[in-house]
Amino acid sequence: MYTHMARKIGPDIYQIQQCIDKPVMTDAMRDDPPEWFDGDRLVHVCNNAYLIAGERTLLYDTVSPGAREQLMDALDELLGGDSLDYVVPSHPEAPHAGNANALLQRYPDATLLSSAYGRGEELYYLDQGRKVEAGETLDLGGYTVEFLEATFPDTAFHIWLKERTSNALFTADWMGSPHLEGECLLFSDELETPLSPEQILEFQARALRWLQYCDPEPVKAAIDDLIEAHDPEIICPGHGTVIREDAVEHLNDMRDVVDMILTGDRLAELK
Amino acid sequence: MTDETHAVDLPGGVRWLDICYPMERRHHHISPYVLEGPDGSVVVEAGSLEHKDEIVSRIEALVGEDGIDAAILSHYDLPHVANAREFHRRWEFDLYTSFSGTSANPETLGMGPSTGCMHDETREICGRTFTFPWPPLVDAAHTMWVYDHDAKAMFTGDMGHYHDPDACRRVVDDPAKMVSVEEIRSYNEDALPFTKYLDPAKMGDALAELRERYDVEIWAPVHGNPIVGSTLIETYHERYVQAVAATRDAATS
Repeated sequence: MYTHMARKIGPDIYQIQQCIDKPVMTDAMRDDPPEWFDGDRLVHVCNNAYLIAGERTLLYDTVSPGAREQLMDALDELLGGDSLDYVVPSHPEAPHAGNANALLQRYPDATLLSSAYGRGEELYYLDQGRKVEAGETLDLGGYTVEFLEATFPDTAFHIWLKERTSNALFTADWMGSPHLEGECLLFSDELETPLSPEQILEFQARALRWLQYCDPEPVKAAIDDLIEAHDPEIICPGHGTVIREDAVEHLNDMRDVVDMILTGDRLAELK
Repeated sequence: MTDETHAVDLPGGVRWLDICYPMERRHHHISPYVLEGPDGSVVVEAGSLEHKDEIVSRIEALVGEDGIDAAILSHYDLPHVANAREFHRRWEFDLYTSFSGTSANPETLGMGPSTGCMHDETREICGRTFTFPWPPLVDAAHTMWVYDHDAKAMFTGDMGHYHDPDACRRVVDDPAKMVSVEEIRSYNEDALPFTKYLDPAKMGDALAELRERYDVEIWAPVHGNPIVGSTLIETYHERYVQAVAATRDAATS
């Protein structure tokens, strides 16, 4: 496992990335290698956290407990002695929320904001914060965050967000992609092989397994609605490469990803 | 011998630790299972931290203060794993999980060393035979279901249903006790928000394929009352498909 220091996405938004070697996935791809694959390099899957640093600061997702120390180090450097104001787990799974309690202990003035969409928040340690609903906004001073209903969730208590100044859309488990050893923290436009639906498929089919059993029409209609409502310029997935160019084109590509999942075989585990 | 205080006995040495969480109008099971094998006892799922003391107490009452000999965890969501650290602190046992190769592996989460299980793999654990099927309904990526060949029991991770407050200990072993479509639907819409996108026919086919491949006599959800008997399980699956269709229709209307 590798955790890399943060990288500035463009505006004062930083990506903190935890990368994990996937030897089983790498071996499985050797039999029928996709175009982006290189058999001499391990496949990585990543967990991302994003810091939006206005006059007040918000961290969306927390990476997993295995990278706690590195996360804290990265935040120390980015915050430069300031406090963290908000911690927002996209949903209560360990790779997204696993350091939320540790962050609240380290930054006792920080407020936990979590999705209002679910029941039994005590079961997920979400009862110590404030619930946020789709449509609520938060002025960070220089940046404004809008909370969105998670169009493509897996668990309860899921929330997406958009930063309005940069028009960046944060999509948690949607539009993630694996990358190769040596490509950690690269943006989609910096990859040796352009980010393709085939590459996104490798993550998406595994992460949102319900897509295998979906009716594609409402899923594609929801993609259309997402584009019409937000027309994002940047896409920040929880488990993949940040997309800074042709964001809408990549969103449209997700129709092909859905079709590929529905007509393809089930994929090997993410190990 | 059934000990009504600590667990509900199901056929084949499966003991259901019926523990639930009250929601507004209905209750939500978060109930591990203990299986007695010739070489020890196995717990499937670890339950929620809200119920830590009760679960530990019930397990020790069932198997003794030395605790379980093995634990199997279907995925890393908190209601399934939250007490595994406490188990690790108290007892010596072998841990088997679906997420041993992930960034949130059991060692990282303080549960101690573990053995990773792959889909469709079969293992002997405490003298019982388990296979880990590909689950047709999951929320987390690293999820397996657990099939116990000895009792013909399928443990189904997050596929479940709510129950009425007076049905907390109910085992569905009679058509009159069958889970309603609404109990399934309301659970799905709270816990599995992607259900609105599912194709009911595909779900029905996937469940039928699972029944064809595995001889299932006990349907054992963590989040719901167990269902005993293949005919009743098929009825439950039919209702499950109806619940998925109702959610989809409401979302598209």
